[in-house]
Amino acid sequence: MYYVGTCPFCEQGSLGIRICSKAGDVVLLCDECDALWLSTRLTEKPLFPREPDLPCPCCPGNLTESPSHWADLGEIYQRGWVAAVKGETA
Amino acid sequence: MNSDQDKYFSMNQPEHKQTRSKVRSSSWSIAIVVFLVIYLILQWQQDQSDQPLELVQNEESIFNTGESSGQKALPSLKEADPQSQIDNAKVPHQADLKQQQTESAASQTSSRLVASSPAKMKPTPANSNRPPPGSTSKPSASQSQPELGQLRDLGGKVWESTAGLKYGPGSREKHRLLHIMRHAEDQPQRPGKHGVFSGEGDRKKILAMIDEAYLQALKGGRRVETKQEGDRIVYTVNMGRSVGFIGGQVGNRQGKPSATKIRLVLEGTNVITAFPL
Repeated sequence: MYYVGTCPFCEQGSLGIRICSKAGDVVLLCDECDALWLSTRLTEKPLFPREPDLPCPCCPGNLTESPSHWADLGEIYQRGWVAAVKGETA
Repeated sequence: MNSDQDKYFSMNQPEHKQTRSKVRSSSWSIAIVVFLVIYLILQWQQDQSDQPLELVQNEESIFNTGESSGQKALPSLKEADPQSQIDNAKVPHQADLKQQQTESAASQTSSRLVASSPAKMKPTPANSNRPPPGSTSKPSASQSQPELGQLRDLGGKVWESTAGLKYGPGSREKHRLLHIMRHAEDQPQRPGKHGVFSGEGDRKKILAMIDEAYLQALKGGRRVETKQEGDRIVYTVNMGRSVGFIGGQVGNRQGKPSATKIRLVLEGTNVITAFPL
């Protein structure tokens, strides 16, 4: 999982780049508390999608069921978020 | 002779009357005494029969209330993980809860019976097995406190802890309990910090600490920091003792410092995550 930093809400989780199951929307999702950002501007307030299915805030898809997944480097590059990436978790 | 006889009878007549009146009065007094004795015996029998009747009525009411509401109010406690060992200490705990419930139901029903009509009462023999009220051992204050970290099944894969926190489906691990258990051991390669609970990976101990932190958070005070964002609430509770250590890449660089706080991220009573800090 490529991450862009530590979640400012729970201050523990890593913010991974997640692609939704339907329209391929890209979001930042905390792997600890499921807080969500629509952009890499982390000063904005997070969204908290409904548990446990985490519906995508941009389309009728969701962030939990296949084919939703953590973005690979090519997908991140395509969306122009490569500069925000801090690293990759094991 | 006749005149003598008449004289004799006339002279003896008052004596006969006296004897008759004496016999009458003594027979009356005997009758009164017998009546009193019978009355007292009847009274005593009634007193004897009233006592067991009340006890039996209470027992019947307990069973009735148990069927209607008591059993629903106290669902059976189960382990979250069927593979984990059954905690023997939980069995007397459940018995204590049932006893408390039965006693409270008994007091409620007996108070109700006072108002109920006596026509409904059926006299029954005094064969109740209930111990006398004086011999009933009431649970002490420490016994009545449920053990923290216990889970009970609410259905729908949702489990409720002793303190009222709910663990349901969610997270990358598909269930919050599994997610919490990520914090049972270090992940040295995890970016940033990774709080690790003490308790050697024992789920009950970890959940008990989380319950304790939650109860402290509800109480509030200087040891509790609260942050709210919409439905989400974050409690950071200073536990005043070591509750684990800081692992992850940062924690390992710092030599795994001790963690004395627990952070709870909740939605209402639903646990999103919890970890030492």
